[in-house]
Amino acid sequence: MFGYFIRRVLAIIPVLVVVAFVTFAMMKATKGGPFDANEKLSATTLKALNAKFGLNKPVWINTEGFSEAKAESSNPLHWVRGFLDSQFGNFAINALKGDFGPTYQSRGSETVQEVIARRFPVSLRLGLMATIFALIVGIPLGIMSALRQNTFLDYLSLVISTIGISVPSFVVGVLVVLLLSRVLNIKPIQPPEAWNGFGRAYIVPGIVLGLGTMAYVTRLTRSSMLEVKRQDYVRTAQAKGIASMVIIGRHMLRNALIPVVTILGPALANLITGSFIIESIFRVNGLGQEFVTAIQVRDYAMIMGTTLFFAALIALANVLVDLTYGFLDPRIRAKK
Amino acid sequence: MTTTSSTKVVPSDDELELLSRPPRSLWGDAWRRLRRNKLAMISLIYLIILVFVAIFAGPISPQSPGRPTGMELRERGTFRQAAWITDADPRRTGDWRFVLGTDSAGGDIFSRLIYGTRVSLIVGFIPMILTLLIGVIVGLISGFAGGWVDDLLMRFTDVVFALPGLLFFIIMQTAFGATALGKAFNGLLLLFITLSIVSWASVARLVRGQVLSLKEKEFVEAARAVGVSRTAILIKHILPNTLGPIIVAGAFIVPNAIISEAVLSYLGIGITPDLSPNAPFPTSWGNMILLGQGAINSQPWALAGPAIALASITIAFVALGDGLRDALDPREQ
Repeated sequence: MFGYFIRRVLAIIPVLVVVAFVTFAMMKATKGGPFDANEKLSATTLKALNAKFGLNKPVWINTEGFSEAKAESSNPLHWVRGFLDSQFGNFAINALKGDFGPTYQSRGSETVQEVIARRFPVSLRLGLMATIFALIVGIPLGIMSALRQNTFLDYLSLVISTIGISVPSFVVGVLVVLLLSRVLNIKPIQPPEAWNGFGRAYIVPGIVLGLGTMAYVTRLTRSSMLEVKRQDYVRTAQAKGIASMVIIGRHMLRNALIPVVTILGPALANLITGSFIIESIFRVNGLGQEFVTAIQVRDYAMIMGTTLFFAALIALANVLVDLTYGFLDPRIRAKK
Repeated sequence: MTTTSSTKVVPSDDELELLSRPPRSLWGDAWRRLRRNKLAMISLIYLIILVFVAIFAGPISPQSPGRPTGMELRERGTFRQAAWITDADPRRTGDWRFVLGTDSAGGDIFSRLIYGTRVSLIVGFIPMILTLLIGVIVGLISGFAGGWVDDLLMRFTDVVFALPGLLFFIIMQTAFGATALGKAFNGLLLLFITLSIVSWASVARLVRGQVLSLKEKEFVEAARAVGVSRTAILIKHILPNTLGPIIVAGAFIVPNAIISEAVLSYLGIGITPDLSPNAPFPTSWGNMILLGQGAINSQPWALAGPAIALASITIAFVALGDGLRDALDPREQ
């Protein structure tokens, strides 16, 4: 189990390296610097800004030291030093330390990690709201439709889960905003202050964000409950005269929920990435919205920092789920 | 067994009919099962209609999808309401020439929706084909070759598989949106590449798994025994047997690609709207949602129209995918 744990955690590293490398390479492939679009800056200001952010250095290998000692340029250490002093080298080293540098939007007065620290709690609360909704609605709905198979309730939950799975939260969000503002006359967009603390403001966007996961959880719970229902140990328990609530809770659910746990990883990833869109639609003051703004103004530092942060978060969520899975099901532990 | 049958067994009429029926192929069986699935069939018909709508968008749409010129130019800046709504302002009162009203620039919402079908379908299908192509090739090679080739390809696939899709799409689109590649065909070319770059990994895994189990099967051994070449075994014997799961995977890739395009266009980094009057791809539903959001109070159909269109196309694709999965792999039921 421990070896398995170590292997799973180490597997995150290549993913993050690729994400960092590719993100950086792509950002550098774009024409023009981050300060081009803003306004007309004088050449000297631009130069000073570029120097401040280290943008005057070569992108991959800094050959500055090479020309002075040409004979030594075959020395591999030179290349390493050149790499470490390049834009990418600096970015990678600082990122390892958790420092993504100042954002371009703030002209250096705020760092990317400060923005993440300020905005991420809002996104986290939204994701938490969505997860809670998905689980406390999805699991009971799945259990009920499995226990009352082929009844009206079952069909209803099937319809809800089919719609929830196929219609993306993005479209649901748009339709809910329309419905609330046009038909029910409720203001769907909350003021920025509403997002401080875990308040009522989170309910609607949280439900919209969690709808897809809820649908998936319902389907999975239903199908695995149906499978468990036919198992011998359930029949034995029934034959022994154990109360049906106890059978459901102790014997069936414990086994039926294992597949549900496995989808929590991808679901969490969906909740995290889905939050960009939901946050933009409902004007939630979180990291997702900040990321979208960064894209629009091409704030490279912010884009790269947030991408790495999100990627690490998703990778970590997946590992966590793998571990829980191994913990819940002894058969998997034995195999590894 | 029948070897020592002294008593003559007379088959009943039912059995006779059963025997005289021509043998059904695997695909015939699958089609029969699919046909019995009402939801999947309704979805299939709806999607076929959408394909026709996309192809004949020009003759079907009541108005030009572009911006009005000349006489109607004065209507710019006012949203015309949907046809059944009367407004105090005569310029905003509904008109049956503009069924769902107009957007802020006077473009007819309904016609733009019709043209948007083109983008959604093409952005669903072409990345699906590219994704399947890459995934199948990698999966076939990896599963069949084994050894270090398999290891190398699978480690690479694992890394790609772990990349967060939407995040990656956003980075791609932001980075290349302003380049020549990003501008080609209103940004469609870049979207095709972006949307196929991550999702092939799951197809590759799927195909590899299939190949690994298939290559141990007797029919492959038989083919090898009679001297069929490795390439021929792979293409003639193994590939056709992996088609079922590949088709099902493809059916689910399409709605994902459609949604990703809509999300990217909603963020303003997807398709570039084309304002010229004869543009084949003037706008996409995601783009219309982006524009419609500003008019939520004055012209709700600018937002509701594309949102409903997107919802219905994804429901149809997912229902068809579910139906295909049940039809092609009855063991799942």
